[in-house]
Amino acid sequence: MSSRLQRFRDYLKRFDAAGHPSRALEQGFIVEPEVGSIAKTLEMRLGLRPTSSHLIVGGVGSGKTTQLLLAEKRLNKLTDVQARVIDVSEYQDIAELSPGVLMILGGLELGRMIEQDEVFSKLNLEAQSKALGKLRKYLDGFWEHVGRGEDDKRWRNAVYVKAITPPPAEWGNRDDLPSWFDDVFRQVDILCQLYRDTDKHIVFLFDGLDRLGDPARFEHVIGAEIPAFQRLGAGVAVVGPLLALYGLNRPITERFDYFYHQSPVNVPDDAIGRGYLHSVLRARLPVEVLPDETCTALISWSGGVLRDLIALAQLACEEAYLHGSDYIGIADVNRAADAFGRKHLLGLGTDELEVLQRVRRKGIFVQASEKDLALLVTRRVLEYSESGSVAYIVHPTVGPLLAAIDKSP
Amino acid sequence: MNTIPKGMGSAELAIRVNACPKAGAWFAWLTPKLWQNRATEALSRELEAMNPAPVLQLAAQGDALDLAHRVRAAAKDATLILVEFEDFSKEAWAALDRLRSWFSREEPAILILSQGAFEQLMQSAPNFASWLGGSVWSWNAEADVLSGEEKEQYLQSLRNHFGLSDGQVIKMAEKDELPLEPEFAQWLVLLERGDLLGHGA
Repeated sequence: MSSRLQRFRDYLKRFDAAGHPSRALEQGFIVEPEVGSIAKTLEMRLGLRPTSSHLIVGGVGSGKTTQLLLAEKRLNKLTDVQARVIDVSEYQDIAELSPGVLMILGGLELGRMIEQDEVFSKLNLEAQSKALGKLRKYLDGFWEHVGRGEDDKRWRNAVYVKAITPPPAEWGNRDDLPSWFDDVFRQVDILCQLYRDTDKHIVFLFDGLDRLGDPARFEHVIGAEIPAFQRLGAGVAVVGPLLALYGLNRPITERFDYFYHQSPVNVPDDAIGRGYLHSVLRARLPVEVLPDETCTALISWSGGVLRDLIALAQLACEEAYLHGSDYIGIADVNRAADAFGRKHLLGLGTDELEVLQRVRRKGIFVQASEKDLALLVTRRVLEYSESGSVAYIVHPTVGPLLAAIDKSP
Repeated sequence: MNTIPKGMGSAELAIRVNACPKAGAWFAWLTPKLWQNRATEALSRELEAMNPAPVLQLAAQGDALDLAHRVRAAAKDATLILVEFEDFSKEAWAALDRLRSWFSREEPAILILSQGAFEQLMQSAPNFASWLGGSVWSWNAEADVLSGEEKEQYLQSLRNHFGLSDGQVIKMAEKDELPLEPEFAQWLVLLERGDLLGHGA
């Protein structure tokens, strides 16, 4: 294989937009922002109040999982905290999420932690073993096994849960929760007691619930689970659906002690944020391959959305390879941005295009319908919020195409 | 003003895919239903000519969970071509979106689907769609190789890099003397001499 192809393959690997952020973290590609790091705030608040609850919302690709992973790393450096990230969507069809699922997943994770912790290796763990067995029995009783991974270590003990069968009365308030929820609580409490006895605080960082399209279900589950985790003495952070921020769903944020909105970096107005995005790119490629002016162009086209920045850089790198260049230039970035914008315009109706044109021309965006919200969720419209003020723009890659449509006869 | 994704033939797409091993890259190739078999076969051939890694075709068959299982079970070193999304309902796309973590893999994957199916993906699977970045292209039968200026630019970069002319490469291929490097396979495809690929490249 030629050295040029090998070299570009190596560059492209560094911009794995679809890869799990844990891989990027292991490779040293994740840079934490100096200002506005949710991970740092989580560490400080959970350090002070170990049983506090936290909700994180943000658009697709805004870096929420990355913040959870960074928070886990930071929290585990504290001597009295054990934190774990759990991607709920890896285990459960979140459309069928019911109260008790987070508790069971937390309990199973505690079981794994206890098994791996040398501190507990000489103790008689009969009670904990029984508790874990009961939790697993719940899986056997209520959950549908549809697969077990063989190669991937993470999947060895995984059970993919299609759904807990909710009893008919369950879809009400917390008082109506099925009795098995209380039993699940008791078993997880037995596991947690081990950590309480050693003055360790448990923190669960639940990821993947942002893909839940039904805010009412999210609220129902959270309403039952968060107080239960607090009774266990555990801290909880949950990545939730962006829709929790809007309209009638707004009270969802009040279920938590703290709430964070992971906005894109406001590229035009936030110099520190631009510097952060620049450092994200620089951590992946040196200036000889990715000149500073190319970074500036990528940051501008990304609209400050982390995953878009990475994806644009990967496509620009591909363009540079295809066009015979040894470095990524502005022309490569512009071709990548054009492709990106075209993807975003596919399938939009006249009404949606009108909304986008209004945002482009006047910066006016009102979330009047589900279609409007979908424009936010899909990042065709970006929301910059800071200190109570909110500004809207169309995704920068869409702007020139919308302008061209506007001028077309 | 035409805002549909740029047209692309199987050769250019294969070159792009071949440049992205272990980069977690996902591609969408928008192809009318009538031509999907032909496009899939052409892409498979190009990929197999460029790289010894296996190329696997998986049919969506309307069930996101089943597809997720098959993607997870597929050989880790395989390039995946995912087809038959035309019957994928809005609910199936939404389920695929919720199951996105199951689709995470290092080697490239290409979705071959109609524009209508892609629009459904964009509406119902926004999280999954974000993995595609800008790698969404329209199938173009006439652009089965890079067209015009782009093709010439790429050929020139190959000539400069290897210090060989097109004629020399063709002669080497005819004599079975071409090095076993994917870029020589790409070179022959760009010269519309894919018929020589069995000769060493």
